[in-house]
Amino acid sequence: MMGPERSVGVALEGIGKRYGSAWAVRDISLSVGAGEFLSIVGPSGCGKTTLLRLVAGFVRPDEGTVRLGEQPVNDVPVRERRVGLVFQNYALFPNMTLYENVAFGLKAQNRSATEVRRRTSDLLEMVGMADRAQSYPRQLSGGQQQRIALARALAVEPRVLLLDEPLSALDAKVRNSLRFEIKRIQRDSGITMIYVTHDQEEALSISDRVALMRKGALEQVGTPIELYSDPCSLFAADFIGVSNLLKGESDGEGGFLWKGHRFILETPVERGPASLMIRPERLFLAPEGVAGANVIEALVQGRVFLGPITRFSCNVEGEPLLLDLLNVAGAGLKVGERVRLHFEPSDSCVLQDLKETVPEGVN
Amino acid sequence: MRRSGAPRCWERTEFNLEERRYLWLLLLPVALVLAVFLLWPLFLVLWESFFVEGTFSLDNYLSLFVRKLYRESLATSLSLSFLTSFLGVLIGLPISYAVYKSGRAKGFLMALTAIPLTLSGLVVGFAFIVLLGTSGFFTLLLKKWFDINPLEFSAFLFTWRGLVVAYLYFLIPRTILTMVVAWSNADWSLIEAAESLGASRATIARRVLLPMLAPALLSGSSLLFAVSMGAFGTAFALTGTAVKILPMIIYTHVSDMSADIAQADALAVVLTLVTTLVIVGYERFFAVKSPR
Ligand SMILES: Nc1ncnc2c1ncn2[C@@H]1O[C@H](COP(=O)(O)OP(=O)(O)OP(=O)(O)O)[C@@H](O)[C@H]1O
Ligand SMILES: [Mg+2]
Repeated sequence: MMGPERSVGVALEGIGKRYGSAWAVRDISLSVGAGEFLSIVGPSGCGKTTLLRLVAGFVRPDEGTVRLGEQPVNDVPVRERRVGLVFQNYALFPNMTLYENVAFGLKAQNRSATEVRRRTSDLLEMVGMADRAQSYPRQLSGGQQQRIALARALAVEPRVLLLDEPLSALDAKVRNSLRFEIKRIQRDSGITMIYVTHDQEEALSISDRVALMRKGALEQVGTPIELYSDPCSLFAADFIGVSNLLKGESDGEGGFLWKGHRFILETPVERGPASLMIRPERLFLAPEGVAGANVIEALVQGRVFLGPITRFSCNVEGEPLLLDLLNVAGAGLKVGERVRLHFEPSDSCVLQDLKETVPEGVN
Repeated sequence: MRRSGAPRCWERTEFNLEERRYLWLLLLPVALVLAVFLLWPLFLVLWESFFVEGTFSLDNYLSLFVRKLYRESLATSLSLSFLTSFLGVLIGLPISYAVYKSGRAKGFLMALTAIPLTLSGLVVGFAFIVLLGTSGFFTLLLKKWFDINPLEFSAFLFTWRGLVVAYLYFLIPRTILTMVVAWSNADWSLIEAAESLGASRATIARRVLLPMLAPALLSGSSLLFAVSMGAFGTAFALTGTAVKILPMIIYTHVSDMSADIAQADALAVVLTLVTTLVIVGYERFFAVKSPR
């Protein structure tokens, strides 16, 4: 997704920020390419907002360097950094019309009157709000307000646009449509975006790359596909998407031992305790009469209808196992039914979560 | 863009006609208290002000145009109140920000700020005499250190200047208390947004911060004005009847040997009316400028 020849939009080099004695973010090194769409995801309190505010300049790092393009900006005040901000609560100026809101930055930067007029109209047009230019923010719905906030931030051509959970206050339908509109705007304008969300599905659907954070540190950075199919830790596997995590043991000879089964792995891993991750949609019903490796006998215990798929919860000797089946004609299992499940070695992934053994902090 | 489902916070709860008919029942207790303790006395004052020795007359009001003393005292009251409420907001605003930002000390500072509000005006007046009067604590201290003349130094206290200083003592805390709330409710992301758009400090103060604080500044200064117009005890303690503010004139009419209650009533009505008119006019004027 990100070509190696791409120039740098934002670079964080060994960033750390402490509040009191606790690190809000720690030892973060990350480079965002110019024109890249990077999402930051992670559980509440893991430091996403702090990281964004470090880039914006509201927070000074205790360690490390923030760069915008090639320029180190640790000592550059916010108003000179040329970063755009979009907040969860929209933060439009309530005493100004939508036109004045979008024109605010251009006027503050003393652009010529013709430029102010032209760019403001262009931006209002881009977010589809040109006909409401003379309305006040309070007259708009949340989704419309966020469009204006987007236009206001983009009007001054920032070097990077920082969005902190911009869609969290909106309902599902608006969130879905606006998410792709943000993506379209990003693609059309070629602007670098750092997009904070706690919604991993949102991050997977629109990002070039996703950075997963955990307790102030980066857990994994990669394309959505990498994060989904190749999580680096139990935490990543658990946070991104839905997964079955079977706690067992690797025998060091290409096998994984779990409840008397010996599953065949794609590549052998070191001997020792580990977890095997299998996504629920990568489990299949084994054809009748086929015996062999990677087959699990299970009892169907419950079902949840999710539209295109049904998620079955199965029981294997007391351990729950999730199975997703497409809702096509003739498919479906009954609760109480015995099934034989099967997975390909390439669809599973062994996780030895070394980080899990580190003593847990307060958050 | 409209969503269905859960109501938005800005969608007011609408009562249907049936419910609305019984809504006033909830207001009944408050309405009763207001009627007995506010409207009835006001009405009595108004009623009595129209009688001279038992017969209906407008003389008590006409005297406002005849007697220079009344006009001058109204003018003195108005200018004193304008000046003190303006200074009270001007001085109180930065202090309120400091209190808001004071972190752990905030609760203590707020409690400290509230103390002057619990003192009677008379006590405030005497306190100033004890501290800054001719043989006051600070006066004597200054005399010892800088060899000032106590008489000359404390003379100001017993003029309208002294009233300005003493009034500020109980007006500034009012500003602080209202504005600390305003700072706490302020939406700082607006300021951050403006900053990220490259706006200068001056632009942010004028275009974002001031409009944001405007409602609180408006109601705060109105409050100071009303308090100033009605204050009496402090002035009485410091200047006796020397500085002729309207409440003082009313007092002399009630307490003199030749008590003229009806005249005092009429002046009280004028005081109430003028104060209300100024505040309503002031809030109208500025409310138009900041659509909210
Ligand atoms: N101004 C501050 N003072 C003290 N601690 C802070 C401050 N800001 C953040 N923190 C702490 O830093 C950590 C990270 O906070 P941050 O707001 O960045 O989390 P987040 O990932 O954005 O969480 P959320 O998803 O809930 O928004 C938290 O433990 C928080 O308590
Ligand atoms: Mg946050």
